[in-house]
Amino acid sequence: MTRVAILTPTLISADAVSNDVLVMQRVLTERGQDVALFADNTNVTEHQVRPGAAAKSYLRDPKDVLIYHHSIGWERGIEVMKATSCRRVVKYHNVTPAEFFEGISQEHENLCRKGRSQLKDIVASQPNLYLAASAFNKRDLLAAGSDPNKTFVVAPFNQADKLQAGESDLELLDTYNDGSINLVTVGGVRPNKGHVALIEAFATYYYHFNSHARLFIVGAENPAFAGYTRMLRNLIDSWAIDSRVVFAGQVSDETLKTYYLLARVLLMTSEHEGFCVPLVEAMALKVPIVAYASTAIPETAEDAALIWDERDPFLLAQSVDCLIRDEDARVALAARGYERYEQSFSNHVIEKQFLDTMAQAGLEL
Amino acid sequence: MKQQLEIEKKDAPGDGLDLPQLMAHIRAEAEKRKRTAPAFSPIPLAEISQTTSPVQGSLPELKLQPDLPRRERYELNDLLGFHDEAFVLNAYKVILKREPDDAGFADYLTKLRSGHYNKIDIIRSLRFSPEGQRVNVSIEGLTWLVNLRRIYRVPVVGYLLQLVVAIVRLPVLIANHRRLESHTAAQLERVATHVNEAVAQLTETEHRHSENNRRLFMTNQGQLEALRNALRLQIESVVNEQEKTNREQHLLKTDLIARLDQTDARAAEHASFQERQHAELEGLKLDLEKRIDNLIDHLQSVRLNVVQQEKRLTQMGDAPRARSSHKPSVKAEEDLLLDALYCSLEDVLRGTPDEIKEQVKVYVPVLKNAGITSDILDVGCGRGELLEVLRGAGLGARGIDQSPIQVERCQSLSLDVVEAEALSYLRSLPNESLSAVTALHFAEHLRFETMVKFIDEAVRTLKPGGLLIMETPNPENLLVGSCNFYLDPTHKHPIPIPTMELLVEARGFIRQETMRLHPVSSAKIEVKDQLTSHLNHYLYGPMNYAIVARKPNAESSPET
Repeated sequence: MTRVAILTPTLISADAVSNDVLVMQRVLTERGQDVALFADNTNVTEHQVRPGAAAKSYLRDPKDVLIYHHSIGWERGIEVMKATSCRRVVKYHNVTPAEFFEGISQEHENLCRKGRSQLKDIVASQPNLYLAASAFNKRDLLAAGSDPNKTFVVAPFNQADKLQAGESDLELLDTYNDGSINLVTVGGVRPNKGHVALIEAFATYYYHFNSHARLFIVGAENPAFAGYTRMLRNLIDSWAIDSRVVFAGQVSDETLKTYYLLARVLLMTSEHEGFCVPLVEAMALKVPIVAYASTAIPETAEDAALIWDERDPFLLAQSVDCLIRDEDARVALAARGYERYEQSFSNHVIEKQFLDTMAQAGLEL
Repeated sequence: MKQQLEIEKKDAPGDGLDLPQLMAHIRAEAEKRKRTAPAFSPIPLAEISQTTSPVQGSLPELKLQPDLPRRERYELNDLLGFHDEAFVLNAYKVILKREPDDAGFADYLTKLRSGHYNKIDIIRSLRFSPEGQRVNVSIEGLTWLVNLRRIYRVPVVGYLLQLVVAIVRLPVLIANHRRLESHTAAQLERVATHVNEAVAQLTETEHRHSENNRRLFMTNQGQLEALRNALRLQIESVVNEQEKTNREQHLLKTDLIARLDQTDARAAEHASFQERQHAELEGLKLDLEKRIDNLIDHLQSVRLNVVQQEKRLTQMGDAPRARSSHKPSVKAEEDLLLDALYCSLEDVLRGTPDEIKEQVKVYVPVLKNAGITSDILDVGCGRGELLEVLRGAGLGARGIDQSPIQVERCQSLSLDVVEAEALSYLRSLPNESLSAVTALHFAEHLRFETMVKFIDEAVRTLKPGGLLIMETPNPENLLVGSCNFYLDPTHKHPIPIPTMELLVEARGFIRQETMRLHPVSSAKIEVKDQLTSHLNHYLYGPMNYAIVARKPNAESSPET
């Protein structure tokens, strides 16, 4: 039995990287491996999570495996990578460029800057395998000097299957199922998520196409980005659409599923995504997608969404209007999304991809 | 209330979605929409950040005393440089390595401000408190001063020493005082400068705010104006549309009313046309009826002519025969005997004269209604009952009979009756010399050909419009037809009503009426159903009938 340590700076609920870690742990445990989780920050109670530094003592045998999930600057991660002599795998989720946080959060700006620069440290530690969540991420790794023969794309595990099978909040469903055209965006309220473009597009749709529209912004609000959130609220006020925009905050799986069920279209205007898990969730729940083409979004959505290169609110608004009016197009697009989810992003597909890639690199688990 | 929900969204089996085409369509529509959309935008984002972000280049916090530098060891002067609250706070931080508790802080500050304790006293009190001894911070220069303070407390000597030290340190104290004075003045200057800068910045901020407000107001005004324009355009277009619709509706209404009026007029016209047609049809009907009557008269007169022509031809053939066969009758005596026998039979079979008179009264109104008052010939008058009735009714009538006995009877009643054979007698009369010929129970005594000749003679001798009335037993009554008819041995055969009707019409008469007479007065079968009703009719129905036939008016012409 191989010992596997999964190391990540933060392990919390409703977080894409944490979901990848937790499903990965489940997959490997089911295959009989001795899997332990290591993180310095956590609010997860249903799993035993040890401090990051403890990974060093846990991994004693050279045949043990360390899987480090890199998504932000974290000294401890690099320290463990360097200190362990076992087989090491880096799962790269991408790091948000620091510029997004300038003037909003010095701490995040520093962490992200560090996260970027640590790519070189990671490469220097010569891991046995690099797993990039997307081809977009793979380019980052290669640019940092990773060995192309050891660098592969493996999509992140996700909780779409959990959402599909899970319950929904009927009360919430009743509240908003009032004949309005509900649109949704999912993702933390962070400066890289392109909320300004989202609000402009929504306001355009609201004023020029359909005054029965409503927008749900689903995702945690971080006090560290209070200035950003305040700016968004002011923008919403200035458009006089505050009664039509709902900040849902961080939500349970049940509530998240309800917002997807309520939504006629998922709007995604994020400016930086290493993969964009909400697209996969929307595909799994047959919600058609309208998005701006940025970073990894086009490759995750492929031809199962209306993706625009130009940042033009009228294009997004017109796309939403088209999908609302043309049921055939809406249904066909949603069906394409569902097919893409089934073929590429369901957890059992990713599991095979993950294990095969590991095996190719001599890491049979 | 939570429940698992199935995701119900329709699957599209065949895709059929041309994404590039759809996106091209969306792009074109978006461009179009952008061109036609009214100018409408939020307050520019830059202004929002300006109004919400902190004022640029804001004043740093005014600090009249510097922060305590972080060091491993402190000198006494490090602390003595602070004053008032800052001194107590920093003394705690340096000596006890913690923030002051509220009570301790307030206590030391009061003592310091009252002059009861000086700074050295406070430092000493903290340093040598149990907590201070535990923390055990070393402060250079403290021990010497503390010891000196102790000596000061020795009576007299302490005071003198304090005095000497004070005198010796006087120049230093004066210098210190001057330094404090200039330091205070400098501090005041800094405060004044800071306040001035703050006031200036406040003024600028206020100015910027009012500028922002003005711009916001202008933007709002602009947006309001744009909205107002858009609204006005929309209202105008709606009003125009409405006016157009109203005009169209009015036109339609007018057209509809005109059409309705036309329809009404046509309906009225149609009604009057129908009325006219109806009247015309009525007229035509009357005319037609009249023409039919005339035609019937004409037809019958034609038939009469034919009959008369036939008769003339017959007479022309019979004349030589009659002349050659004129020889005395050898059977005269036998006939007389039979006549007597017949008379007695008739008395029995026909009924009493009073009964008969009662029965024949029915013909008086028939004759009177035809305007006939005289020239009535009763053929086969028998006992003269009808002649008596007619005489009683004031109608001029005469009779003939073959029976000398009956003739004698009649003559005894002063009736105008002669003994004559009917056919011969009629033949002796000129044309159109009679108004009516009556023959009651006469025809059934004749052979068919004789009867035809009799009718022919009647029609010849009657005036136009004159009547022939013939009464005879009715064979529709089964008892009459099968039995009673044959009670009279001189009867030849019963004559059914249709035969009689056809016969008179065939010989030129117009059949005016067929009268069914003398139903059986005895008890009938109680009517229970159709069968008993039929039985009553056939057994107890009228025993006789009379046919009333009119000679056509000669002057009537079908062309009338």
